[in-house]
Amino acid sequence: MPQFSRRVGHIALSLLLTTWIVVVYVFYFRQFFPYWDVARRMIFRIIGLGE
Amino acid sequence: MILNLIFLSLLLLVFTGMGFRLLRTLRLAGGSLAQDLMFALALGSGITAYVVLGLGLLGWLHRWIIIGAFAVFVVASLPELHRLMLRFWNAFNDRTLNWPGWASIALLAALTWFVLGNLVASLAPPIYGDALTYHLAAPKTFLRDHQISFIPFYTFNLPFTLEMLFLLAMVLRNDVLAALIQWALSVVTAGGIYLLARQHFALSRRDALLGATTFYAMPMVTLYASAAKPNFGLALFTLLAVHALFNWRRDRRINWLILAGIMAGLAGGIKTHGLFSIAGLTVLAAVEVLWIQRRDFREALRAAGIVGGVAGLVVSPWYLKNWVFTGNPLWPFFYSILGGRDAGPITYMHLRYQYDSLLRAASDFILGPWRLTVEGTRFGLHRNNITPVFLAFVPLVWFRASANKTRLRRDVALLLLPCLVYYAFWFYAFQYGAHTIGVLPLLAVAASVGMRRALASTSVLRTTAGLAIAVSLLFGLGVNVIYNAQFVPVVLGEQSTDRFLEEKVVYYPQIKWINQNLPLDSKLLVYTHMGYYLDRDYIYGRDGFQGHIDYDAIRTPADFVRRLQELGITHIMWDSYFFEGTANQVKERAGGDDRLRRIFATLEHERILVPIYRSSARMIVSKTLDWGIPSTVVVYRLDYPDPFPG
Repeated sequence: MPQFSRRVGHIALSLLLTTWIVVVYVFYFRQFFPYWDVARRMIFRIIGLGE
Repeated sequence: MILNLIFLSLLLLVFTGMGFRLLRTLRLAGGSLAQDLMFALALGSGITAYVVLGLGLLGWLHRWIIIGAFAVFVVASLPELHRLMLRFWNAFNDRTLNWPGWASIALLAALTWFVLGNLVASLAPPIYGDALTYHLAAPKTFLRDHQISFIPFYTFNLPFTLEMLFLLAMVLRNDVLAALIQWALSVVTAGGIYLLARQHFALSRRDALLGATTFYAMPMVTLYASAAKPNFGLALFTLLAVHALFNWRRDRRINWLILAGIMAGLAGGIKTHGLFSIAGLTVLAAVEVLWIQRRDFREALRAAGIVGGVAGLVVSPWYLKNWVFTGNPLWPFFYSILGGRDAGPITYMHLRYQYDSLLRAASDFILGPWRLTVEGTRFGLHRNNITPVFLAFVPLVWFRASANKTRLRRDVALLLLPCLVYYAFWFYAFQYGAHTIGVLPLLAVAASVGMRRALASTSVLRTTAGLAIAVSLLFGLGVNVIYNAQFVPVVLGEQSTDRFLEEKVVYYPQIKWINQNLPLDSKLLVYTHMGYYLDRDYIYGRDGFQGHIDYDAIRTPADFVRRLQELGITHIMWDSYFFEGTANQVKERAGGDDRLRRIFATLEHERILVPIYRSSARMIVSKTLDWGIPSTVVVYRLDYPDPFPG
């Protein structure tokens, strides 16, 4: 039983930390969404497709 | 291009040789070669900077004196470099090369790409705004005046340790060499992260490289590594101060404490924020004695006193200079308490609200790291954004820790302590994102411990962590390519320097006209901030940022003309963008009286201000995106009336 509890706790903690990493990254990249158009134009300019 | 790199190598070798001499004097040489090289380079650059400062304060900033002093350094460093060469050779011969693994090779390749990308940008003529305003403009002015004297512009009296090296670079070669120094320090900082992670956190090559590479992949690093700015001096010296203190924890030799103090002091001489590093290091020394070594308060005070005392001694010349020049060591800060010559009109600190979107409550203090990561614009610009790697992975250090990892957790806690002290000062002082750079390398080391833990975990966490790290690196790669691509044509010679500067530097064509047409003894009042490319004497006239002209005391055209005559101004470079800001601020303070515009109109009408050049210009908003807004530049000649109006 203690082994089972430890196993469940282990999985729960892994999921919690995974969620934490995902949340941080989603919110981090969310701030750049309004600037996607700027990035697109820059990439087009660099690869020579104009704007 | 090649010559610039040769000169950079020469500078770095001489710094290392000089610093190694001091390291041997402190009996601290003999650790790993990489550690010795890093400390030697940092110490040597500090020694050189302080010698240039000394020459400047003595009024000896003449080309031949500086070159002579540097020649002495070259000669003095030769025996030390010979010693280091022998050690390098022995280490190279003794070493058996182990296969580092594909992950390490991939990380090293990524790091090399970032480093080379930033090198390309460093080789271009300087265009970064702050560099043109003061990091390069101040050394150029000091060199022209042959001395370091008091100039009442808000940033010309900051601690300038790295700017002294920029000055040396400008004498020996050019301003590109100055930018290359910052680039070199950025690379050494990445190396310092690797070394601290390896030596004191027992991380594998791969995990230490993860810390160094994710740090270097940050957009903030890409944007600053190639600019003639002192950011990486602050980052490197703070990192090395902590490294020296961790060395002291290991072998308790007091000289490591002294070296930690020297490094922290040098950090304090780079930027005012370096004082936060000194505070952090002092607290760290005290906590180590009390908490880890379990010794009494007196011992803690002694350790903290050594670090703080030595750091204070090293940093003191900059603040003593200000005290002698102005009466306020922290000029122009704390004017209301400490006063200070010509600091009254400098009110730009009032503008800081634009970066103070955080409130000062305890909850805001706790939420700060989250906001710094996910809301970069609240702290200046997106470029001040901090990689999500720190926030995502540093907390993982405290999860899933088995009993034998307690010591590692404690060491990471100690590593984060100076970060916390630094953050506290930053939080209550000036909340600008880029100023956190002083402790970001420390966070990178802590994050690499967290990343290792995640990568050694269950499959779902390992996969997510791997993806997250890869996404950070790819995002950094994209920014690195987009940002640095703009410098490639000028560095390869496909675009002329003039054309490049016309595209990237605010009012460059107009500045060029001034350089070609105004008499050599002209002195200009300019309303733009970026005066570096002006080859005439000039003062900045923007309200709130300088103490030359107190606009509140200027009530009539005669007041203004009198002040300009006192300052020896012969011409004014007026521009619609920056002048508007100044005129609006003066109007607001004068209760709606549009005084400054009226004064200019009157003086132009009376032919005291005579327009000799008018041009449509472009106030550049984004160099990378080539965005600008239309403006107008007028150069006025001042025909002082005789007799002078009453």
